[in-house]
Amino acid sequence: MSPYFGIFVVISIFVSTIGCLSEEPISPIPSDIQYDTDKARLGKRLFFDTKLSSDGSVSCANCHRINNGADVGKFSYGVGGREGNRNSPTVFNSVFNFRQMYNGSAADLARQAAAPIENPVEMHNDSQGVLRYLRNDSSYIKEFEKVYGKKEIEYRDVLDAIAEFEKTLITPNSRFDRYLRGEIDLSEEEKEGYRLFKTLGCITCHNGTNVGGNSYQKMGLINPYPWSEDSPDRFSISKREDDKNVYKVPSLRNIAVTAPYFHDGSAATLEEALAKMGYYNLGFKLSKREIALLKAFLQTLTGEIPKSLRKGGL
Amino acid sequence: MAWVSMRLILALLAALAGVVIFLFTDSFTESYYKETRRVGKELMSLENTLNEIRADLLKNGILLYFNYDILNEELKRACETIERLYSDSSLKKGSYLQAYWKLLDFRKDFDKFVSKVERFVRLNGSIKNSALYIQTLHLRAFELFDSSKEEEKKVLLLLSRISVTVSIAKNAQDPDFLHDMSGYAEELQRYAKRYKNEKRALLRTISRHVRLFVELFPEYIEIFQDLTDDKLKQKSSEILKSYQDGSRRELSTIEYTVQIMLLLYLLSLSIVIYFIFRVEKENRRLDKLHTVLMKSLMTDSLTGLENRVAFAQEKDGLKSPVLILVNIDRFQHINDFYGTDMGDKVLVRFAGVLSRFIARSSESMSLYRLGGDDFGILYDASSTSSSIDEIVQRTYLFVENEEIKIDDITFDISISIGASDDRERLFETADIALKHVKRSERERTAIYNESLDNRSEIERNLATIRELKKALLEKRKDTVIPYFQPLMDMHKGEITHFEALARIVLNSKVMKPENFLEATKMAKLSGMVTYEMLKRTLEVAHGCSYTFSVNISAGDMYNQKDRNLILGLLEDAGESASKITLEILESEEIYDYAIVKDFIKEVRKFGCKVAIDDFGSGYSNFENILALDIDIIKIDGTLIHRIDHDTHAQLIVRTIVTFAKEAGFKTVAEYVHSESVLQMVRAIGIDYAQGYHIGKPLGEIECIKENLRIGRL
Repeated sequence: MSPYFGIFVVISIFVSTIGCLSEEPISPIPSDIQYDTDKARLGKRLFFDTKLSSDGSVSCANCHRINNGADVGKFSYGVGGREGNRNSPTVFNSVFNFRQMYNGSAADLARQAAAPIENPVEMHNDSQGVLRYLRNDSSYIKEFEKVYGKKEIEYRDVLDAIAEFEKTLITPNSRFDRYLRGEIDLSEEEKEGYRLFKTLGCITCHNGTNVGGNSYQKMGLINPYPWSEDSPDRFSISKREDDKNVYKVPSLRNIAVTAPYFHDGSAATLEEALAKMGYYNLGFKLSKREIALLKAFLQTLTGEIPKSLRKGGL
Repeated sequence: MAWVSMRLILALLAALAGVVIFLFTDSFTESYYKETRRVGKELMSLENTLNEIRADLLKNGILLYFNYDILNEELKRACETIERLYSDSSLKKGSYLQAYWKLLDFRKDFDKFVSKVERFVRLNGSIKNSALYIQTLHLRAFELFDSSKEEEKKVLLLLSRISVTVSIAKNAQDPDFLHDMSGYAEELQRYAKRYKNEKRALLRTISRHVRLFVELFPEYIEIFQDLTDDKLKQKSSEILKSYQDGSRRELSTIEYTVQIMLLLYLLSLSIVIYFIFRVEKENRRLDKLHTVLMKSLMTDSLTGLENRVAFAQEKDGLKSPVLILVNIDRFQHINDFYGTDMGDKVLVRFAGVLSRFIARSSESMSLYRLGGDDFGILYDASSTSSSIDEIVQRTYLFVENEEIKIDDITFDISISIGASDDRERLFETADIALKHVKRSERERTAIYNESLDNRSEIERNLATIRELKKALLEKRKDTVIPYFQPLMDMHKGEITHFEALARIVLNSKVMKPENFLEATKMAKLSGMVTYEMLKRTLEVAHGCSYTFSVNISAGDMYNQKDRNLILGLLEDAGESASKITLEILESEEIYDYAIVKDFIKEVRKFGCKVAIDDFGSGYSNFENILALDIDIIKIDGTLIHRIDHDTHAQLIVRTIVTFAKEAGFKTVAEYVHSESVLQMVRAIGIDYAQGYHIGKPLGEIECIKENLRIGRL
């Protein structure tokens, strides 16, 4: 049996397995999204208001920086300089995620917004604390009444406003999106990177608008990834052994500018992150070339700074 | 009133029912169709979404890579639809509860389904990747291993076997093909130990993928089959079916309710119609009754003629009304003698006589029964050229020539007529004229003029009456003077007795009793008149061979002073007193018989006789009268007046005479105005006759002269 015959067999099986190819599994970020301007404006003010935290030192924006929507550090720091146990995920494009938080414990943005406010190592506050502050601020009272038409500020409206602002935080017009829309062409290297992204199976989990963020998958599928009690995984909710290190697949949008990587911030560079993913989830070591190509592709996913964060944006 | 309010309430209720039915039907059907359309649409879209999810799950299972966003979007849509249905109030109504319970069940199932999808996506990712990698790495193995080496060829063969098995298992979706896979994985592990570096790592990686594949595949298949079967869709179809059943039930309930309400509405409508009908009927009945009542109110039930009410109404409609009042003379006698039934028959027949008269008359006249035996003929003077007198005479003659015969009894009806054209006091003045006729002995008809009116005469002569009073009180001589009317003793055929009739002379004018009697009564002077009359009569009687009667009323006896004066006169008169007969007037009006009895006893001491005047008509107190100690009864003049041709008057008179003889009373006939009457009086055997035929009343001197002339004195 010649090796060519073997190759033929494998290829024929391969082709039959793939069957027909579908449409592009990644869709571009829409250039605009519908939102309530008044709510979003109010949400923006809240988003940047450190007084929502117990000691008035931390705002949402502390960990979700306006340049990349995420934190620069490995972990984020909460009130009193307390260090958290995870790398803050980017708030950009989070509206396209099918769930929020690493383990998907928040069904939507508003529910997500409550979590950091109430987390002891983050803003360490509660609904009463937030309301006490807002209800004593005449300008907030006025603005809330204007936006929500109620005499008294309610906590869910606070969260709703923040969520409405977060909706605006989308990063359209990345080079890749423009390529998908047929506006520009990518370099050969980048295109090869995208092909590799698909053939290596990255696309299986990283697809959709956010190139991720739309399913739960296990980190360390082939080679076990280190696990600790405080890993923010599905296990923390379900307590099923099987759910250990199962996370909501992170978005790869703007991945080039949101280092460090992974929930634990353990990968400082994109190359490192790619190599780790190859080892843990594919089971083998990606070659330098493969990493370079993938990186070239991933870099095309960096979009524009959200309009609402630009001057005169909201 | 009760009907009306009832009808109103019912009408309002009916209207209300109508409005309610309209609103009910309108709002219910509208909301029903809205709800059904809304819920139906949601359920359909849920089913569609489930179909899409199923299709995409299949696609996801087959395709190497897939955009999970699509699936998430569909799941989210389904979830939202379910939540909308869950919070839809219309599903919580009785008819839809079954669908609602099914929805609740479905909601739980769907939550599980979503978890399963998440799990499936995860497994699918691993399975696909491993399947891909097993083959990708298999391909790489050809680069690393040398197929010409027996040992390495075995490795390649094993890898090929693994590849094929994985491929078949995945495409067949059948875990049975994986039976040998665990062995392959171990074998691969064993091979791996024999190699180093790259070869070893490759085999280990493939081995891990194979293990992962084997580990996850059965669950993957199970979930895949679970997710892609029809269970969930069937359940959602069941909800739709239940909902449609509920909807049909609801619709039939609405229809049923509407029908019942419509029925109620129709019922209340028909009740209203029934009541309207009844009210109409009642109205018609009342109208009829009203007409009958009005007629009976205006009609005399006995004769069928119009009555006084009708008269009062109709006379006002005439320009120059004339009333001819016709009265049956001595009708009371008929009632007394034959009974009221006969009297009624006579009235009916008499009404017929008058009706005939009217019918024959060329003038347009109306006939009324105005009282017991009073009939009225009303006509408009301006519509005829005949004078009142002509018509009155015509009436009189017509009636006089008719005779009424009932049960072989012939009633010779005589009438009195009073007529008037005094528009203001038509009945009253006609009645005055009638009364005048009644008082008069000879006049049978009279037309009202002021001189007939007692009242007005009295009014006119008020000064005269005052003067009379003054005169009487002053005992002015010749104020009261007696006129004497002779009485013939029928047995002797000669005048033996005179009745002293009072005349009052004022300002040289002689007044008859009918012109002063009321006045003297009113002025309480009648006792004084009686006194004067008695005094003067006693003077005349003194030394005279005739006897005299003087009228006295019971009232004179009641008054102690008058009574004593009268008794004093008789006492002083001595023998003359025995020539005096005291004639008691208006004896039917006596109310104290003891006093009268006592008075009679007193006068008898002086030799006076006692007579009862006007006996016969309308006596209801015979017994009391006859219990008085009297000598003579004077038969009612109206009976005598027509005795020559009125058979029942004769009958009554005969009865009275027979009775008087039995009782030992003498009888006197008044109003003897003709020879024929006189003959009848004689024939019946009445003791005395008085009247114009015998001799009219004359003053003292004239009386003497007259009697001297005819040689009586």
